[in-house]
Amino acid sequence: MVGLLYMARLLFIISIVFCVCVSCNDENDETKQAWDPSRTFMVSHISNCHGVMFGQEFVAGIDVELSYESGRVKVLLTERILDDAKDDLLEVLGFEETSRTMTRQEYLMFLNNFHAYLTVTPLVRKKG
Amino acid sequence: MELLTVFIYSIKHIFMPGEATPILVALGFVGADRRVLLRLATGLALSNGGIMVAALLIGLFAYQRSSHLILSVTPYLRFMIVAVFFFMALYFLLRGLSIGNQSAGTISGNKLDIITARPFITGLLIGFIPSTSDIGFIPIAPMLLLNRGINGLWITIITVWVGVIVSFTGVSCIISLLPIAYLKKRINRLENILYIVSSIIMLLLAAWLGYYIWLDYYS
Repeated sequence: MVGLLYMARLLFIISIVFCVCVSCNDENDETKQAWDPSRTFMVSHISNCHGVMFGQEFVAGIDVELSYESGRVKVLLTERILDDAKDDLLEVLGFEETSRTMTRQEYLMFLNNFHAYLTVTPLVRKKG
Repeated sequence: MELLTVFIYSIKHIFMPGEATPILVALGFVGADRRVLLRLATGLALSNGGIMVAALLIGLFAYQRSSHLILSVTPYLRFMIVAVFFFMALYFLLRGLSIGNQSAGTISGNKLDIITARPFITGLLIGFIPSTSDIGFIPIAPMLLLNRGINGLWITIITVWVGVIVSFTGVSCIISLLPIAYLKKRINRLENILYIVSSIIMLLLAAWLGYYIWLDYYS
């Protein structure tokens, strides 16, 4: 039992050290990159689970084009998603036109809203 | 057809990081019986639906007054599930360490058994932590209602809710099929090891999720 206790403590300490190392790794990295709006947690979920493609420059197959400058994110909903989504997409998301510039916090909230919209309105791809 | 897709999406979503499914799986993994798992799943499913409806109602009646508050509390709401995972990691660790000591009378297993003793209440409490899509429903609720109509909106929400109920109960039934009780009798100290392994997995999950939420909001 004593051996098991030690093993448990050791494993627990190792996992805590591992977590700390993972979280500190970026801080020491000289090539640390700036925050990227296309690499957030919700973007990866929306891309993987709902099939909506995000990108920083316009290429074919991108649904949401993102650009990040001086602390503000510009979100552009491309023709591709406007064709495939329901007509009320812009209205429900609170967009007056296809692009909107927002703060980082507003952008993260937009992703939550977009995700909720996609949960109740699955995207049907018209072209493959 | 659209409702079927919504139903399938809602099933997929309970496996999304940040949902409470790992707790259900971990409890099954350490040998909680089917009744405990089903009660926990029922609590989770009921409160998940309840929070979804609450989000829609807040969106419909109070969003204009609370929009700034929602924007500022969202990161903290997302960290709540991280805290629950962390708490579960500690719970599993203490259980794992205490089981062998029960006969020596050092720590009573029952005193620590706060989760399996009240699984339905535990499920209800954990399920009330809003997920990202629950938070996302608040701002879009008014326009969704306007465009889909009250019937269209409720039918979709009920479909999502049914999907959540089916998937949580389905997961608990599948997990309870694992022959953990049999293996515990055969392998000495297996229960301690399962608790400790579950504890480490929950801790890593909490760290991973917390790290990504921190990256999103504070990096």
